[in-house]
Amino acid sequence: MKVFVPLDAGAVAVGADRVAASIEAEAQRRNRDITIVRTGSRGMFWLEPLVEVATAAGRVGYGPVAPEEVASLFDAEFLEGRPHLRSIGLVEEVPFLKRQTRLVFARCGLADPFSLEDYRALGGLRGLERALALGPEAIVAEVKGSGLRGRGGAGFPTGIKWETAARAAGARKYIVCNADEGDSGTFADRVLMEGDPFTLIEGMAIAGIGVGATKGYIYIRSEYPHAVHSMTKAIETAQRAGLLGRHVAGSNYTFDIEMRVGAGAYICGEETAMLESIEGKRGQVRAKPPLPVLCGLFGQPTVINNLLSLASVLFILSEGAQAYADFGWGRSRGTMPVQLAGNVKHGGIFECAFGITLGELVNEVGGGTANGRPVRAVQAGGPLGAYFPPALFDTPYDYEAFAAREGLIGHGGIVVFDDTVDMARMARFAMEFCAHESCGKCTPCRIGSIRGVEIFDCILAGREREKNIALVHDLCEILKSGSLCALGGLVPYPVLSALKYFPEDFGAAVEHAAVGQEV
Amino acid sequence: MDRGARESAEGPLRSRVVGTSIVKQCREVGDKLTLTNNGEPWELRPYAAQSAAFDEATARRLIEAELWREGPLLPILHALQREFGCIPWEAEPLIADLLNISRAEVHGVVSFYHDFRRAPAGRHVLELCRAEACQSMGAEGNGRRLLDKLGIDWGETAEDGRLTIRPVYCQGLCATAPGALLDGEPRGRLNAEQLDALVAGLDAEAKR
Repeated sequence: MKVFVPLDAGAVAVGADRVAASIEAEAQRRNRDITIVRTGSRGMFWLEPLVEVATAAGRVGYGPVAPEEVASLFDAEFLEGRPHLRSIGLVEEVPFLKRQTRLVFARCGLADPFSLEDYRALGGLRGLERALALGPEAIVAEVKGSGLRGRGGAGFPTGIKWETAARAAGARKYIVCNADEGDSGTFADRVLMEGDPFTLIEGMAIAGIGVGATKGYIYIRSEYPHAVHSMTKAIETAQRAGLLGRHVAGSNYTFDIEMRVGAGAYICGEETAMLESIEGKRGQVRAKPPLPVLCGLFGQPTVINNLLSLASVLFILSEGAQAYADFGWGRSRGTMPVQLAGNVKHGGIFECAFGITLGELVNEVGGGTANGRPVRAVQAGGPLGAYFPPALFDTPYDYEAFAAREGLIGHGGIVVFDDTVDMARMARFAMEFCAHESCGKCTPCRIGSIRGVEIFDCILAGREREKNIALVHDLCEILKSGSLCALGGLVPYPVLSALKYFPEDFGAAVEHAAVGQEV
Repeated sequence: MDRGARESAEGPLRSRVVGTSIVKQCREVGDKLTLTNNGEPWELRPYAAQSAAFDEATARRLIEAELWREGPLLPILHALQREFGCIPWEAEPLIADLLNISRAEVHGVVSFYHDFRRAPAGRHVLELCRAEACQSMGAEGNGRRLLDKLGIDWGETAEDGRLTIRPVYCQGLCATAPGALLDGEPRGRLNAEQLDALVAGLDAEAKR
């Protein structure tokens, strides 16, 4: 009898380890023969810890389960899939999961993340096998034909990046996986690394073969200790199994992966700062050109891809470019694992084709706020993404549609706020965050962000509000046009959208006595 | 005057981090560090008391274990911090020597990254998320209340050395917000009461 309990940090954070221990103890006490399989998360975090049992009809779920409820689960014969207060029925039939198109997260939450046999049984390694059969040029052509665009935020076509790197001359080429998922409200990289780490290894190996790179680096944030542990274990397993190394899966291609752990700098999610960090330097942004794809890590041609881009490559290779391009619309092809976070009833990962509207995501999929209050704002695309009011919920989830409304998809995070949010404080926070995380290389970002915080303090204190708001606009123009990278260049998005859509907060803020004193 | 002569005459020159990011020059006199701030003398605790017992042989072994890598500095610093609880000042010249880079380069890297500490943290470290998703669930108010209760600010250690509270910006626990890592263990849905209970639990442990 198999019982599945997630080992994902998000599930452990709400007691999954204690639930697993409790199930084990209770089974022993009752003399029941069970096997507890620790899996990744299904991405339905409001149900975590979600306990699943394999039955003849399929996997039946119970969640959220508290450790003290485990005895009652046994009383209700949950091992047979019988009803219980926490029963959610067949997991695959939960609307949140049923409505998804899971290409990247196809395997996540189903099996032991560290078992290569399970990985293969669930369709893993098919992408790599086809890639080995196709050879480098055809791999790049497939990725190019799929219309896949970088999932890190900028949306640059992945195939073109690969093609440029493949043609670039260099003694050695590198693949760098950006797993420095620093944006608030995003956790898809973390969940995938903890729940299905071989996907990333396979994606990187395909990229390596495609562009002729022999070495890959995965740069993971130190804030993700569980993901670091998981990837370390998976890389070792893959190396022992011969998937990585001198002969990738028995072929004549060489590719190996090394992991690097960041050290708490948000800016290292910026690709050139990440290269500096891997090289052992301060994580400061490089001026472009030269593009990293021609002169990147240690001066060699380097493909830097987001983790989700690399993970998307598997489906493209195994099922073909057209099958992938058939999902999505316009210039946004394929699927995006959208992450619903913050004050949302049904928080988690919702992978779907592009084109769904923001309102559908927040209200239908997410179910509105967690506390039942009205939704007032959502921030899409992390700390540098715009705040959207419900009036803009008709915006389709699509790179261009978001850009047209001065927003961004970024890494797919959506943070929901209820009607108690003070948008003036959020705008100030955006500047404060930029000041905290600025690498200090360019003046607009280094100094402009600090001036931004000061101006907001004046606005919040009610001093010369009109004049200061005009100054914020002016400052944002300078940040947009004068910053070296996206940190300074995009921080105007949350600031200006807050000002534009929630002007009442910038006038009414003077009533808040404590405003401007905190932090 | 060359550096060696100056050091022997006035005690070794050291730079150290005061507050969060201001690097100041100060001078070691006897077992005390003195530095002036706007003409006011500051007295700091002897620096040796703030860092874990530094052992050059151990440090050298840890550094040499990472030298096979391309760009080994970050892995080295992580290894040293794991061993000593911080990056001891004595380690900087050693790293510089073994990597054949300048001490300034090493110091620049150590001081750039938020993770690297100059003194060991308290017995427990609570890394409390301050990013937007956690803010939407009231994290900022909860955090402030806890800090006020302990009488410390972000990044500081409670007086009894029991707990350090570090601000972090996102730990990927955004769908079970507010989130935190307590000594590396994730905690989610941390409302005000749970946060209090978490810290009170550490109290109980300390009394035992």
